[in-house]
Amino acid sequence: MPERRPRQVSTNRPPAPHRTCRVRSPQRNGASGKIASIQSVIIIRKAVAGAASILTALVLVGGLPAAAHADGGSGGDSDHPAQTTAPRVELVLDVSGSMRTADIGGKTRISAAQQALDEVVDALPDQDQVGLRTLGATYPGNNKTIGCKDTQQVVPVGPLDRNQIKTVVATLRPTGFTPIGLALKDAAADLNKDSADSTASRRIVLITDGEDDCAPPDPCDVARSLAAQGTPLTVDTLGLTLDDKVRRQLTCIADATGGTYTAVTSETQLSQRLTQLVKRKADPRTPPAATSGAASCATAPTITPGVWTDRESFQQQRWYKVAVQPGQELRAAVSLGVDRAVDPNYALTVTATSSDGRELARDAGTGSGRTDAVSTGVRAVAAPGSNGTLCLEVANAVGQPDGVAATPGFPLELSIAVTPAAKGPSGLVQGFGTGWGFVGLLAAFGLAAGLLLGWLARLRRAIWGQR
Amino acid sequence: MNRTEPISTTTDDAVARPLRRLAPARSRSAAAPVTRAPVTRTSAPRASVVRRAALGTVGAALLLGAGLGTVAATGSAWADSPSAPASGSASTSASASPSDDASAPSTAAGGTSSAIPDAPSNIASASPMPSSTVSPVAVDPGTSFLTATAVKDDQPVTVTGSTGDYQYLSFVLKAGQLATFSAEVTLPPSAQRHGPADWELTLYDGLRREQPCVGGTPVQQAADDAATVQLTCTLPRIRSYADTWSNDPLPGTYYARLTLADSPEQDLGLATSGQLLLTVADGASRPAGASLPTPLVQPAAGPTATAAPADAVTDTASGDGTAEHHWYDGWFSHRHAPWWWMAGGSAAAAATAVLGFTLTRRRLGWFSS
Repeated sequence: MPERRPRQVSTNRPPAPHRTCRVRSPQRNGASGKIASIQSVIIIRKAVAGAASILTALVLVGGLPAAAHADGGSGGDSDHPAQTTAPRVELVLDVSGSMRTADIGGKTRISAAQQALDEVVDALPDQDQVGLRTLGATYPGNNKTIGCKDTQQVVPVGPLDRNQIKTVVATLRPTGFTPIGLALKDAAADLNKDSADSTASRRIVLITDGEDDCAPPDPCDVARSLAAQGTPLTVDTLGLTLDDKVRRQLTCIADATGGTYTAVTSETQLSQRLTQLVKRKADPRTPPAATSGAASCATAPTITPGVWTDRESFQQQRWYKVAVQPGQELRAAVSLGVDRAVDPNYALTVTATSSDGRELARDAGTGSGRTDAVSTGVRAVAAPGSNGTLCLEVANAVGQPDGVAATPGFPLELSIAVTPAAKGPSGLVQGFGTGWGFVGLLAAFGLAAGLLLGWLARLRRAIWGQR
Repeated sequence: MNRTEPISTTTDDAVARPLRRLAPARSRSAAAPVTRAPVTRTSAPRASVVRRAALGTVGAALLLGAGLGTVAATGSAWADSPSAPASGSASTSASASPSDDASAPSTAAGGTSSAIPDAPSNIASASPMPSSTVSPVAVDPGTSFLTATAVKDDQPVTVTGSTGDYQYLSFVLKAGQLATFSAEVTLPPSAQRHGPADWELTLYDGLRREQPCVGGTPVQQAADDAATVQLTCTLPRIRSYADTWSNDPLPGTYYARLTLADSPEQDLGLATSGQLLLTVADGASRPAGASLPTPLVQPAAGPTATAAPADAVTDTASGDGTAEHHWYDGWFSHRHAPWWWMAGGSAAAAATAVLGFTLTRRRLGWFSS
């Protein structure tokens, strides 16, 4: 019996001070209450003590989720530092003969543009890279063949040289034709040529007052095909006249490249808008990568987490593969840029399937009327035992109106992420409650049940007597 | 004393010894003295009778408790609709903590905005542009999802642009939050306009899925002579978890797109400005006990050429890879909280059952003669 002695001693000791961690209190309390029910005074003391320990345990448990942040992931691979490269912009200024018209607050269009450019150059930070190209600035004659080649880069794209730009701008005199299409093509080439990083996004700001009088090629088609080649190209347009034809042409160029159109009615508006457009943050830090989806999953290219671009024509579907291990979740967000006139109602469907073609999830983005893009997204979990590949199908239901070209296709943008799969609420605890109200309710019903049984016991003794 | 000792020691040994080995000192602190104390003062036969009675009581209480648990859970399920007000402090405290804190550039500092009533139906009738004491900040809106400008809640921002621009802003929401995005657009002078214009506010989640508005007026037609147009959209309450095939709003990035939806073609390109405000009210997130490991925040940059897909995959799966792992990991996670609550509630029920039973046996006669 020497083994039992220590416990015998502990029986007579006052209760140990730390009774907070009794997580298994139900059984212990039941056992203690069972034996202790003989002496009610002692029992009540113990019940209070037991209840206190239960409550303490609950506080611990209830308080734990607050500290359970450890099992949450961080923001994932998308949490890039907000590093922004300096904007790289080429301004394309129309210096055609029509710029002589004096209709912007009493000033000629060219003098309003010159003054606005001076203000913009002063307002820009030093690190911004701005180039300048003119069109219709040198050939005063009537020969269309020569006049439609009249475009020059007068300031190369590079670190801001305010004096150089101001000097060049001051000497411009309205002269010739309006070869917008050619000027855009050359400006895009300038941005490629002057860029150390050939993948950097390209931006053009076009300031003009006239319709292209050198078409074909239609400047709108030129802009769309330029945007489809290589890195993203945006053309923002500023119209110095409210003429209907000019507006239609400039909105078409802007829509074709995801740019904006502004109708200039005052010199102040011009300089403010120009500053805003040039200052606009350069597109993403690491530019999207180009890919080309296939007609079926088997032949599809594999794309990794990040942003990808592709082209998709009217009513087409494209397949991509993504490496997703079992227990991981694929998240894909897809946008189809609507860069031309389309039929009123349109839809984009994204479907995630397993590599053997079983559909896991799908979602559709739909719309009607004016829009820049139609977009949707999908989440899909790779099932246990899968071969680590999921397939993505991107299909559009965009109608082609008469006279609208199908090539190049619409710009398609996919943002792919792979994360650990989420755990759903546990099915095992269906019907369990949580919270202090729930515990209190259980305790109250326990009390009621105890009282009821006690009275029943008394009743039984009163009727049948005590053995 | 000598007679009773064997009984008590056998029970004690059975229970206490394995327990003590698992969790020394603490787990047995109260149990051993409590069970042994009364035994020294009573006779064995009487004790066994009472013990049986008490056992029955405890069993009944546990049964009752389980039944009630079901009832309580069913009751709480009624309040599962997103429009239901936050149900009690208990569930709020339990669910406010899921680890879905989005670590995107601008973490919305929730909880400061109390201007929003909880029920969306109230929001629709409330002023479309809630007044804020903070002075507005001018921002340059983004032109696409990738370039969307991040805004914070309760911070009014002003944007300028041309009619027809697609202006993108982004913000971050957490589980349980109810967000309202409001926009007041100052239209071009009516002398320059040629007809009514439809303005539209569209909200997208992190996967660029268009979200419904449970309140507000996201599309408004501006009359010919109107100077401003007001748009609001209240998102459904953000849920803590959703099945992958469902469309429920989840924690992460949200995008707002403000644009001219329809107008006479001549009205494009005119100068406009707008004042935008995001207000966020915190609340209980549902379903309780579930959370997303990572919020819906999609990459905004191209794939990095150096990172092989396999590397990226293992990185995201194992977190930072330095965390220690223990056998008890997950025991106290949010997911298992219902078990602890149930255990604690059953214990409380058992204790009060014994208490109630003994009260009826007291000579004091509080509840009986």
